[in-house]
Amino acid sequence: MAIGQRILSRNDELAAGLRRRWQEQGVFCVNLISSPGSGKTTLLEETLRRLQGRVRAAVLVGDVQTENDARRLQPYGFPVRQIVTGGTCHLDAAMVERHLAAVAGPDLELLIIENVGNLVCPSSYDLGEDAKVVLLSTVEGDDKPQKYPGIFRRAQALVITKADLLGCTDFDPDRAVAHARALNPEIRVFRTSCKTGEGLAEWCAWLEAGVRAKQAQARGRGNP
Amino acid sequence: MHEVSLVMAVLETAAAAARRAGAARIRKVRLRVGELAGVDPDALRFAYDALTGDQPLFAGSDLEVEWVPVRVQCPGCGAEGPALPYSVACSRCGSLGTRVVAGEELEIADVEVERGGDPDGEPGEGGHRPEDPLPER
Repeated sequence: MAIGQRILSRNDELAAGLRRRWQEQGVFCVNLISSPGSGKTTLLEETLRRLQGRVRAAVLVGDVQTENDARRLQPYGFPVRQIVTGGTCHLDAAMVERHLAAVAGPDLELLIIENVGNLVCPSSYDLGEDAKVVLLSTVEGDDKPQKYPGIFRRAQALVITKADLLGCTDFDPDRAVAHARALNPEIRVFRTSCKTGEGLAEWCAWLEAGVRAKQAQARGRGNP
Repeated sequence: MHEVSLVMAVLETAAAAARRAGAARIRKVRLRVGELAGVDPDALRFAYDALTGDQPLFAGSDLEVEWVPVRVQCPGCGAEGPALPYSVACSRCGSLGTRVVAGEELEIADVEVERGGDPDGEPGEGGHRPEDPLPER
């Protein structure tokens, strides 16, 4: 019997439902993906600090264990919810849907999902996001895009983190970007450091532009 | 290692298809996995064996994984073929302005089933005996 169906079609359906909801409400949704330790939570701390008073954001943060990351992100005045997967190496659309009520009010503008630290598994699961964002830190290999092509192929943006450590390691940012662009010529690149603040204004401006574009689309469709 | 979650989704879909067809047993499940899918075929097979071990519907069945390499179509030079290594670049002209036409699959291609024969040993719905099964494609 021919089936010809995506393995994750059930997840895709749920994700499509979420995407429709964000379209109607004019919410911009990003899905942050990286290896453990690349600096997703630190980037988020700095992002939320800068977005205070500018964007109504909410965060879902996935980890295999502990609520540590949610606690770190709590002080910035945005709703934050930890998703403890209890062993699962990625978030799926059902998990996002289950935890949404805790963070997503009617005035939400930006939903940031911090995925479980892993460059492989999260890349297969659509969470209804507008953009997957892959982080690559300067203490990792600059050939990571070659080793994990799936996520670098699917991401809309690449955030190079820990740029303050450039020169202390063999990481060559130009090589990393070239490897990523070989798979994904359109990928948007941000070079950032949460220690020096480099690139964070551009990164936050990109998020805000995403929010405004989504809101304009929703208005164009006759929604608020 | 999300192959277990993937195989769980595969088993659900395959079992539903078998039920709809009135099949007694599943003989083979074929998947198509693209090079860019980020999925390890060996881990899929391992997960399949582990998860089907105690399920009569899948007893003795096989998982076949078709590995799909990246193929690109180049509007620049008109070529269609494999991409340069670690990229989506056209292997003829090197352009990155290509369209990926294969290599991103993560799908269930088909399921081969055995129709249940009735107690008299008459051929089942599929018109053949279980011991002489024809693949249902």
